[in-house]
Amino acid sequence: MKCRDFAGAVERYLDETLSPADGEALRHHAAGCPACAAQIEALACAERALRSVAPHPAPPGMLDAVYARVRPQDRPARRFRWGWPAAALVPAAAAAAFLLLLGRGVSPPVGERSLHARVPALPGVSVPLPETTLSPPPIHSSKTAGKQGPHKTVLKPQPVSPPAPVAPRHPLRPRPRRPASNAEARSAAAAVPEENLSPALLAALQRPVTVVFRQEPLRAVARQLVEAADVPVHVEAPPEARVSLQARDAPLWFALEKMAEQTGAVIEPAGNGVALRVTAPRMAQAPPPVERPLPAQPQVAGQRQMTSVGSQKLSGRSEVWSPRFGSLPEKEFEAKPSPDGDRLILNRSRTPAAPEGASAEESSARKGREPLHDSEFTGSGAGGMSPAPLPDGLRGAAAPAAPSGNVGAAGPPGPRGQAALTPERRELPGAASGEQVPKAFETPRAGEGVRARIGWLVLIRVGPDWFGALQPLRITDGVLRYRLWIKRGDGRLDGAGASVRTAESRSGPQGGSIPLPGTSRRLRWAPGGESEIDLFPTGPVVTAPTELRGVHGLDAAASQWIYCQ
Amino acid sequence: MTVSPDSDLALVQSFLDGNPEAFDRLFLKYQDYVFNICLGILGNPDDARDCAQETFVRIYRKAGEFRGRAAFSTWIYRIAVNVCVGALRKRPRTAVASLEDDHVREAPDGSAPPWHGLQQKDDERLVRQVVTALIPDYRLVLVLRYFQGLSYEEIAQVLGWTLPQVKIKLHRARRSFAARYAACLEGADCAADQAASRSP
Repeated sequence: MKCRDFAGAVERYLDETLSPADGEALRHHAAGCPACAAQIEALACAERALRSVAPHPAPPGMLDAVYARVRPQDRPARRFRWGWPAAALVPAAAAAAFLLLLGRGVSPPVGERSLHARVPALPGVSVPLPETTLSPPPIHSSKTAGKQGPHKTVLKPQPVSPPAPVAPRHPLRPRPRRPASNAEARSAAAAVPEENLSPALLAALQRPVTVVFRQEPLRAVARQLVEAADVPVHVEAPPEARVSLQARDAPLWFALEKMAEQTGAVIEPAGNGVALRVTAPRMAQAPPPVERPLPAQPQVAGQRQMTSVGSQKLSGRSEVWSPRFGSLPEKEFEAKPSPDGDRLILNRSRTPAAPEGASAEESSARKGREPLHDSEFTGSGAGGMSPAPLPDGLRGAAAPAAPSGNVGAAGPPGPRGQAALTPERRELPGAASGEQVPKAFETPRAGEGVRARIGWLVLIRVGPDWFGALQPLRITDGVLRYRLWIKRGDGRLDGAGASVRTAESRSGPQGGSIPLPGTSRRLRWAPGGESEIDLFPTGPVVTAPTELRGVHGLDAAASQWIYCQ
Repeated sequence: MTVSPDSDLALVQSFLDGNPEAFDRLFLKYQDYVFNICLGILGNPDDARDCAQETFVRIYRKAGEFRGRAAFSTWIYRIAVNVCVGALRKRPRTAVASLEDDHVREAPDGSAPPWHGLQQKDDERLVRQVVTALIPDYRLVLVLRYFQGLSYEEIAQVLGWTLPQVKIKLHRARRSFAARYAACLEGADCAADQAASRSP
């Protein structure tokens, strides 16, 4: 064997396909040729190294993540393989069916007759209505009775009311689920008793309010809502009915719904205002929520358990009346007529909407896989995220006063800043000890400054798929020491994988600069107040201060942070 | 042809018939394979997880397109490889060079790591590091050949290459890996080349 033959033989030797005779020749040649011996030695060493790599188990939670990303309609249908005779019959059958329908008048079967749009389709809500409330189909035929002849048929569709205003989507809030089917959309659209409401009340219920209540009597809360939303709110409730609520630019109906949820009140329209009637106060029975501080640094990295948290939604049902529920997150509603029969009362079910066509078992199984998208509905003591960010100014974890430096317009002190300062945390019923769900935080628009406290995480999002967190550690002589986590993906910063680094940034005349690895973006920063810094996101970079000190279980994409102690 | 109820084809058919448990079983069966393909090609557990998820999302959506001409595993491998190659193309070239700022320097951090990552052996980590530093074609064949144990024919099916192409690529990949691996064992900075080879 010569050296030029050796290279080809080595490949077969490594693949163990070399014949014994050739193998002997290879070894004989290598024994007398140092270059070829070194070559085969290196290749054999590499071969051993490559074969020594053990497979890693897949990380847990992938299946949940997959199901969180697919929709019921993503499920592929079995392919039909039509032969040519069948394919030829399809147009003929369609034409025959069309002629038949015209001849008999357009009317869907009785069993399917329902739910034609008096209001436009609203996403994500399914409102099954009793058969008695169904309106006749809106398409009428002018065909005279007893006369046949499709050529005389004229179809007159009923006018459709204009679309409902759509609340702006929160940048970090998951996209609302689209209706799984046209039937669902139609069913959602058909249940709004608009005729009971005055335009003024409709507008008032959509009016954004910013309020913070902590175990305050329902009556006092109502008075403040009257001032905040300029709408009469009549309360019939015992004095022990108290609510905790935190809403920032949330629609008034949202606040009302939260109040009803906590107190068991029924919300009803009353003239140009609303009335809250508490028949069975629940606040007196429930202990006041205790805010438990999060651990300074969790000791164990808890795996994000969507299933466990997602299945621990609050129990109980409340009668919720809502004139417009299109902007609510996906929920199932059960509609029933009120006792006096003049309006519709919607009972909101806690069960996520099941995929269309899913069996009961599948719905039950899938229930645990549903991501906890509706964080604003999970805490009885918590207000919601606002659908729109605060108009201007500084937002921050500690922004009670006007910021120093060129932060932009001074933010409004008081409740708004306080609302961001103290996000509600509460234990989930039945959750493991220490498991808490911090509320989602308001995220400012790109370009707005935020004030962050030293030691607390600031959520970072760069563009659509880069997520991270910045933790200012200390400022010494104009040098900020920080720790930065950042990754591209679904926003979860738990587990291994995110780029994490500790670095120092010196503040120059224009402030300091914090590069965001992998994104070619950076954050500008300047010293803020005592133990604070001001961050100025630029371009597609948005930030949100938090009261978290660790990234375990942090899900920046869903604005849902789950701590496992 | 008799199809076992637990065969891939039967599971796919069951899933297409509306049984979600069939997809769960397919997932459980192939999650490790898919994750390790992604991990081998990308070299980053987090990216691997992302790509593995994307692979299964595509499987969920496109299961109806599986015609059964090739093995289901081959079909899955091919999807995973395509997802990983797409991820490699999307990776910014500046992914590891963003701290080059006059006013920013990395600081020593003696505190405990923020999370408990995968506990890999040093030599295994070195192998993965070297593989990740290779050009993508070499990565693919090495991962499929050694990490997944596919035959030449299976590699050709997964990658859509001819058999001679596979042999040539594997030949070159072995030598490239051996040279780099030997250099790393002698103390060279193995991570230095990674940034240059991120994009295919």
